[in-house]
Amino acid sequence: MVSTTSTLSRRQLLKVASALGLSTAALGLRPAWANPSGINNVYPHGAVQGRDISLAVRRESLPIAGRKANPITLNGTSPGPLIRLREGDDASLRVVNLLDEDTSVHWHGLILPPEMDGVPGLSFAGIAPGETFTARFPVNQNGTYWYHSHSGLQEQLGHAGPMIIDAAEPEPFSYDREHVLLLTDWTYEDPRDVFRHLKVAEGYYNYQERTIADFFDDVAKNGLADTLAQRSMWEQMRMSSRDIADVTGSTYTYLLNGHASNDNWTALFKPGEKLRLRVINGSAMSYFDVRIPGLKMTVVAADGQPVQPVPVDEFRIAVAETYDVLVEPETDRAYTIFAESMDRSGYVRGTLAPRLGMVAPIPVRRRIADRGMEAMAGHGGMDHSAMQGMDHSNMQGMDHSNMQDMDHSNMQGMDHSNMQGMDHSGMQGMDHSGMQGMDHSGMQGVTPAGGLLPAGSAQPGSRYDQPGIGIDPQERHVLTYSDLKAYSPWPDQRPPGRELELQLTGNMERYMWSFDGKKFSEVDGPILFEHGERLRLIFFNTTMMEHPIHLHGMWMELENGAGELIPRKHTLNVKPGERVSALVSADAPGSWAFHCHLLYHMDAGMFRVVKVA
Amino acid sequence: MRFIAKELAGASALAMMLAVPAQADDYDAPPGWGAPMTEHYFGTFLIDRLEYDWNDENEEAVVWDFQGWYGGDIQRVYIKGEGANIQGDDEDAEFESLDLLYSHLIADFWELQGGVGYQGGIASNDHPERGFAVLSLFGQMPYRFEVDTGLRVSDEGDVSADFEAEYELRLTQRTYLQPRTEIAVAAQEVPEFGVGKGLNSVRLGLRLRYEFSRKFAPYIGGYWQKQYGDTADMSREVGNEPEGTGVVAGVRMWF
Repeated sequence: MVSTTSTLSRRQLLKVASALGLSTAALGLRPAWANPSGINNVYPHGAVQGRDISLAVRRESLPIAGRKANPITLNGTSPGPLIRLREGDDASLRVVNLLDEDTSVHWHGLILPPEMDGVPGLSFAGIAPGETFTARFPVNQNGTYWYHSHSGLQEQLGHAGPMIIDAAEPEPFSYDREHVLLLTDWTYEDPRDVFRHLKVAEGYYNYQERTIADFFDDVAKNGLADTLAQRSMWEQMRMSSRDIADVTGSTYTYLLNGHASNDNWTALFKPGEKLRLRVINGSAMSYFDVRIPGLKMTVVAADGQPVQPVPVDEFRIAVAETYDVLVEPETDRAYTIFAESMDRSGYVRGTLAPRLGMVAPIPVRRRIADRGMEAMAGHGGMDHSAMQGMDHSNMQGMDHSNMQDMDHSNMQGMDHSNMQGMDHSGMQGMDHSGMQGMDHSGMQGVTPAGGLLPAGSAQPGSRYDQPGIGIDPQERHVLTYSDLKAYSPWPDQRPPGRELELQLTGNMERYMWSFDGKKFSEVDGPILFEHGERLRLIFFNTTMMEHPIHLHGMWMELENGAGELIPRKHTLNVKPGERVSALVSADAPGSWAFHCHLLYHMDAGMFRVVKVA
Repeated sequence: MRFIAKELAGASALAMMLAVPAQADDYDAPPGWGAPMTEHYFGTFLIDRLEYDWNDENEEAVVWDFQGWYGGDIQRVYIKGEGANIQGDDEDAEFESLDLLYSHLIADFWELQGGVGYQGGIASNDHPERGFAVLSLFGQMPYRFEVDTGLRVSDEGDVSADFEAEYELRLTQRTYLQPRTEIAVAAQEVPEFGVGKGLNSVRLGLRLRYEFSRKFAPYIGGYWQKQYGDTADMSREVGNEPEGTGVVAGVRMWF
């Protein structure tokens, strides 16, 4: 567990660089654009494996989607090569910084000593230009993970890559062939310009805002009074119901394993084979909805951790999450792998095919959805009186499928009692005293001290059974957090000894993001966990945006109501207005990063340090 | 020009107020590691209106309205300027206002701004000059009305106020219809500047803008304006109509 950092001379640097180039070339690991993958080639940018791995970090000119680009590369490719480790081994990952600025690599989702975690200013000083840092740690887990820079905005420049840890023991599922599907969002703009645009001009990248035409459409559909009531609610708040993504397809080219849709990156299979697709969202800012029309996908792992199999048609993957799915294409035909951005401003597709050169139809993108009332749960300043008599037919996240023939003109007041999929509990702000009547009888787990909810039970205000904005659950079967159940119970079944609630806060107009209203630069000190304690983290999202919350160094066991089978994750998506909770075993002494994994949210200050002592 | 020097002195004092907040450092990081996340400062310069104005008195003018700022999320330094150069009058351009302001975010959508202002010519003595202390409330009202109000006290102790509001109606993703209004009032008569007591003037405008990009958007538009009371009388005395209309063509851009 010793890190070696040395300052190299320029001459030594060139030697190291050429040595790395030579070694990767000798092993046949040079970038292979448009290279299909198979059993021994699961990812087109090559793999580095074994007990002694080197990554050379450079900034170089490289075409992306056929256009000149200047990404950060790792061993010559962007995104970087697949790092393949074995559970039970001691990893040795040498990172050589050939940039002219500091860099770092965070091994996302790995449980390791804090000094190996790769967060500059917290785990270590960062890797200065010309220096080498070697991360050494015992590999005590298996599954699908990824790695990325934790320095500045480098992640946006392609400083990321997939990581697979092969299991020491047989996994609870089998497969014939595997492929990595790494989703990223590339922009030809300088990430610092992207950040400035977000700060200076709200809605800079949104070209799907509501226009006067949408207004007249709604008037025709719902009548003037309803339309005015709904619009005035948003206008009064000075917010956009179309604010689904901060950075959109207007600047992003979405990539699958580094390839844009036109490249048609293809993963091969033989009909009848069972494939394991290791899907990683390595984007800076983009949530994706992933499906393979014609194939049922069976989710077998979430964030690297095995879950009980869930057959789905589609799943939403938040930034930094990973999902492993099994698919069994029976026929000799091509299938489109379709990843649509959550705001519908773009997509990336690849192809799953028995041979190269095949294509399947590309699905039509869905239209952007308008956020509905559920997003406003945390929005205390809202005047609910404006919502009287409103029509909710355009609101996502509420299931109106059974209301097709309803006459809205008779809809007096605000009786939502028959509406499915809509949770009103969060709309009471922070006052949960009215929730006493809730039936928890179906929830398993041990009742902790202090009147806390039993371990594993879903918080009032959670919406785990909803896939999220822009998805119609009637259209196809979409994965939700409610579906995730651990394959077997995680070892620590203690109830939480205490709760810690954090509000996810922001000011969209100014692009300010924070926890409890305080940016990282404004907080007094770290969030303290007592070493050995079991605690409940509660996130209450008071903003109108989704936030993927990532805790370093320890698992978060998502309390989705699955009792002793709650799944564990490294990144939790918290929908607007939602209240999400997770149990944490504070078993990792040290200081750990804790943040929103939307890159520009984190950099804007939605970041805290968790100190376990 | 004498006021510019004063403003620059004020600017350096304001810059010092943009102090970097203390970092959370009790997480055992050795000194020299730097903070895992740092505060960021940004800046921009917006020329909201740069337009050619043809009014119904056959007078032509180049008119501008800009604002630039630099700073963090809460504290910023602003420079705002509005002015015109009437064509063919052999006179230099006049800044109706040129303000240097310290700005503090006081609510989600509101900034309270204070500083110094200047009115007059820039490169010549064609126009009378005066300085102000300026207090301004700048932000967005519910329903997205962009508002800029200013309370001014001149170096002679004259008090005036102005109110500007804009609204943006999105016709398409790139086309905007923007109504705007400007209202000026004064507590004292200041004949040198054509300012009467009470309501000075009201101006209503409408602009249609097309955004080739977010940063570059040409527009066309028109306005109606009217002066009231003593202000109107003073205009008449120098041969101007106190009420009139005009058409404009210009560009909105920022950097």
